[in-house]
Order: sequence, then C-alpha cells, then structure tokens
Amino acid sequence: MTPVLEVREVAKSFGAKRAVDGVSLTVEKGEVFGLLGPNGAGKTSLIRMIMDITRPDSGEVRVFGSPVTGERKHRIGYLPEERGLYPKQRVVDVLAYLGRLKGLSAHVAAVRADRWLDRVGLLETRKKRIRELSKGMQQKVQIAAVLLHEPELVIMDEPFSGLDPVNRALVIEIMKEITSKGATLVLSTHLMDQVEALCARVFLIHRGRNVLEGSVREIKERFADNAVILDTDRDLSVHPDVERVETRNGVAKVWLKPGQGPEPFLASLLSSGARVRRFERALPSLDEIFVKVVAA
Amino acid sequence: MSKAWIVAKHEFLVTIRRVWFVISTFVFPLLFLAIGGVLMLVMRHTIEQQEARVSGLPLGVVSEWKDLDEAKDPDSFRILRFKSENEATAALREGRIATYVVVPENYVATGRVTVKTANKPTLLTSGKGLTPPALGAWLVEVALARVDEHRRARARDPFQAQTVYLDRTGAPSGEDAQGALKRSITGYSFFFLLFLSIFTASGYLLNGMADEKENRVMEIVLSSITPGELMLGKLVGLGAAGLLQLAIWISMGVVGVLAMAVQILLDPLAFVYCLVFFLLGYLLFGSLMLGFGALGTNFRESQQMASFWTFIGISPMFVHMAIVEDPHGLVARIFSYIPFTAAVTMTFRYVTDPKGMPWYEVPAVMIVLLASTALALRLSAKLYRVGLLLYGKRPGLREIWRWLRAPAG
Repeated sequence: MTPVLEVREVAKSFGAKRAVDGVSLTVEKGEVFGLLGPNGAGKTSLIRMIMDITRPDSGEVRVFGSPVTGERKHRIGYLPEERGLYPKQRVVDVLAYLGRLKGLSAHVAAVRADRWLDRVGLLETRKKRIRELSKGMQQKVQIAAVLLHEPELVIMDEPFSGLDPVNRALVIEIMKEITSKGATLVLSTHLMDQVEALCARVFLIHRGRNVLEGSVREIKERFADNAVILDTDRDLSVHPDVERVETRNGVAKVWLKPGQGPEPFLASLLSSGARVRRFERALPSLDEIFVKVVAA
Repeated sequence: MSKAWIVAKHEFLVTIRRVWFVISTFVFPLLFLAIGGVLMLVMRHTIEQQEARVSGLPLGVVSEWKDLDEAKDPDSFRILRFKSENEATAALREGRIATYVVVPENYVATGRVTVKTANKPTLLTSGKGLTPPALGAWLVEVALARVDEHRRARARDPFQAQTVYLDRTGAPSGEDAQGALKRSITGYSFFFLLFLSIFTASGYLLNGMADEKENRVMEIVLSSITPGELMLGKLVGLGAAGLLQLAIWISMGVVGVLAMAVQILLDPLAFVYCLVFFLLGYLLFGSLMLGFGALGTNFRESQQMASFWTFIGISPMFVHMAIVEDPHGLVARIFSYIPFTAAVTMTFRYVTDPKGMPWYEVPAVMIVLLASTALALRLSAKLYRVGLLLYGKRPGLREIWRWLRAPAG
C-alpha cells in the first residue's frame, strides 16, 4: 500500500543555516506518528515543506503517492504552531471560509462548521467574533477548522499548547476518534506523556537531522538499562546478581550485573521464598530518551 | 483559480461590511463637503465684515486737487470731505470714518493718491480694497468732466474683448475660459478621487495582510492555498471593493458638485478611462504594497515598508500647477509615462482637455502601465511568498534583493 506520507532526503537552508539536512521518513495509513525534537530542531521547517508552504532545496515530499498540489491539500488538515484566526470575524464565518478553501461547497462548509463547533462544545459561540473568545476556546475553533473537511492526513504542531487538562482530554478523544475512522495523524509536541499515550511510532529530529526513529516500544527497549522495577520484602543489595539498587516509596529500581537476565533473577528470588508484589522491566520514559539523545 | 475567487469574494464581503468602509464611503465625502462649507461661510463672513467696515462708514476725502473740491459727491458711495489730514485723522480716531484718501494737487499728472486706514491687514482681506470700488470711476469722472459722454464711457471701460479659442487645425474650438475653468475643477476632482480611491483600496489590502500576519492566520490559510492564489484573490476582492467605493463617490459627485460640469463638459469616455486607470493604478500600487508590506512583521512595519510607494504616488501633487497650466505640456507628459504617476496624471489630462490629447497617448500609457503592473505583480509575488511567514525579524535590503533575484517558486 502507498504510504500516506513520504519524505525523501529533504534539505532546506535559510541563508547559512541548514534547517533541515537530508531527512527521510515514511508514515503509513492509520498511524499516529510522533514528530519530536527540541526547539529549533527543524520540525516546523519540515512540516512547512510537507504542506508545500515552503519548497525544499533538494529532496522530495509525496503525499498519497504524489507531490502536494492544490487538490491534494484538500485531503490534509494542518494545525500550525504559529496559529490564529481573524479576530474581527465571526466564528462560524471563519470556519465556513476555511472549509471553502479546503474545497467544501458553501452549504457543506456551513453545516460542518456547526457540527464541529458542537463537537468541541462551542456551538453557542457561533455568532461571536473570534476576539471575544478565550485563548483556549480559540484553540478549539482552530482544531475544528483543521478537521472540518474530514482530512485523511492530519498534521498538528503543538496541538495541546494553551489547553487546560479538560480540553486536552477532549482533543485527545477527538484524535482517537478520527484515527479510529482511518485518518492518519502526525503529531509534533513537547509533551512526551501525550506522545507515549497516542503515538505508535516516533521520529526525533535534532539540528535538522534524523537522530532516532522507530516504534515507541522498540525505542524504549533499545534505550533500556539492564534493570527491573521490584516491590519485595527482601534486601536486594546482597543478592549476587545485583549491581546497584535505588529505592523510592518502597519500590526499588534494581540494576543487574552485565550478563544477568531478569528472568533468572526473578526465578532465584521466588525460589528463595521472597514475596514479590511487583516485577517489571525498567524501561526509560520517552522524556529520558529525548534528553539523552539531544544531549549526546 | 477557483480558490482565488473564494478569497476574492470573502475579502470583498468582509471589507464592505466593515464600519470603516461605510464611514469612508458615505461619511467622509459629506464631512469634507461640510468642512469646506463651514470654511467658506467663515471666510465670507469675515470678508463681509471687513467690507461692511469699508462701505458702512463714509470714505474720508482730503483733496488738494481743485477739480475734486468743486465736483459733486459721488452717487454710489458716501464721502465726508475734510480740509486737512489732521481733521481726517481726528475723524478716524472718533470712528466716524474707517479710511480716508488724500488726493494731492498734482493728481492729474501723477495719478498718485494716499489711502490711510485704521483697518488691520489680514490674511483673508489683504486682497480686498479698502476704498469703495467706485472711487476710481468717480475720479475718472471728475478728471474727464469736460470730455464728451462717449469718450468718458470708453475711458471707464476701454474695451470688451471677444476671445475665440482655436484648436490644432486653426478652426474655432468652441471653448471658452469659463468652460476651461470648470474643466480644470472637474479634472482636479477626478485627480483627487482617483488618488484617494487607489490608495484607500491598497490601504485595505495592506491592512488585511498585516492583520493576517499579526494574528498568525497566514499559515492556516497557506495550508489550503498557494501564496499566488491568495495574492490574486485579495487583489481582486479588495479591488472590487475599491471600485464600488469609487463608483459611489463618482455618483455622489455627479449628484453634487460635478453635476453641472458633467452635463456640459464631460466626455463619457472620461468615466471609462477613470475606471480603467483606477484598476491599473490600483493593481500596480496594490501589488507593490502587498509585496513590500509582507516584509514587515507587524502592521506598523508593513506600513513603513509600503509608505515609500504612497510617497511616489503622491508626487504629481508637487508639480500639479504645471500640469494644470498645461495639461499636455512636457511635465504632464513625463508624469504620464512614469508608471507610478501615470494613472492620476492621465485621468486629469483627459478630463481637463480631451481634445488636446494626442490620440496615441492613452493606448501608449496604458501599455506602459500594463507592462509595469505585470512586472510589479511578479516581483511582489516573490516578496509576498517569502514575506508571509516571516515573523519577528525584518529583512535587510541585501536579503530583499536576493529574494527578488531568486527564481520564482
């Protein structure tokens, strides 16, 4: 099957600065794909090239198997990081206008505007002017604008900034809803817990280059120490397999000596009659991996 | 193309619904008229007051010329004769007279008289005489007392000229000074109207774009549409709004001040040219303002970047006297072929003197204007494309030059 999004060896410089330096990535249909990177890493530059807002110096971007052109943009929804709406215009008019630009007829755009306003809980503000809405409300109108034309590929750059936890949960719910219906989601955010909760695969860009790519699980495995999380009644520091122990709130993180696996260690604990209330591989959080990779 | 149309419709509707559009279209012209009217009233009142001071009181006359002493008083104004200047000055101080005239003994030889007055010279009245207008006629009358009636009449009014204006072929052109004056006034009105509408419409363009940039709407819009389509849509939509405004102003003008001139003088082609030159001028300035305005990072900066073009557009104002005096002279023709000043200058020239305009000038200027508008659109589209997503940092001249030279796309 043709990938929804293919980026091949894309590079872009601004003056002397190389913002994106030969990046390649592929996103398959129905995926939730995390595009990560520290500030100034080249994420926004890359997304703008995917959206054909700027053109790459070299390399190629293909969406649904061909270059991004006018009609193809109708199948993409994009929430940029730098975003706002016409403050003096009415909510419903702005949504209908943006829907029209995505190829909807005037009638369909008007109907969808109301439907999506209802979905984000802002139907009663439809006749208000944008500037009368709070920042969080405006943010939800923007998300409605991105999804109004029911895009097959949705690219969101920092969709959670400015949202309180309740609205954040609403947006996550909407994201799950659209992906369950078959949409593909590319998510760029600094909130690693959201990435862990939502994304199957991530891509880390740093100084314009790809520094890490793969499924969340596989990456965690790759960065995992030889350690386990353990809640037990035994003093572990004396165990022959153990190199080091850190205990917090009664739960211990136990580093095993090189060559020692978690399974034999658990077997030896159980055979010695120890009570084990919790035992798991100690996997690093994406946050920790992010810091480790970027600092390297 | 269809998306540019959606943008155009949206921009048009949003603009004409703006309070400011309605105010500038309907209220400003009335306001200007009202201010003009009030100024005229104030001026007339002041002048009338001054004249009342002159004509309300008798004119003092101190005559050392025997003939005047013996002549009877004039019929059309009151005088008060004094034996000496001292007496006249005393009357002046008492307020019995405001002005007196001293006619010396050798008046017939020199024609010299002295006027002394207690009135102060002011801006509005400095051109007005301090003596009754009929004073001269009275003096002539006295001087020619012994000459026959016909000669006296001729001396008072030496000749009545009948002027015949000829056109290029030497045949009478049927024009008259009165008509030329009306035409100049009409030409002026068109000049200002066109100037005002071109810059109002390009101003909307600039405002709208700065607004989108400042409010960060740009990137959302650009995810659906190319910068070229967006620019085209804006130019068309706001151009239509400007055209509507111009049409309303012209109609108001026709109903009001211009009514008389239009009936008598205006060539219907003048309206066509006015609209065509509006469109060309607007496209030229509008695209330049969009292109250069896009380089600013907020409204104030955009306005600064674009103000250069407004300044150039105003430049015919600095030489308007030369253009008014000779609508088809060298200065007027030079300004007709400079793209930035062509639209207003040509409209003025055509309205002021349609017959005197060489036939090839309108098409020639239109070609120049079309070519330069096409070039301006191309250059501006480049700047617009790079400028739209520029936040925070204003580019330097070198950088702008690099963008202008870069291939499109």
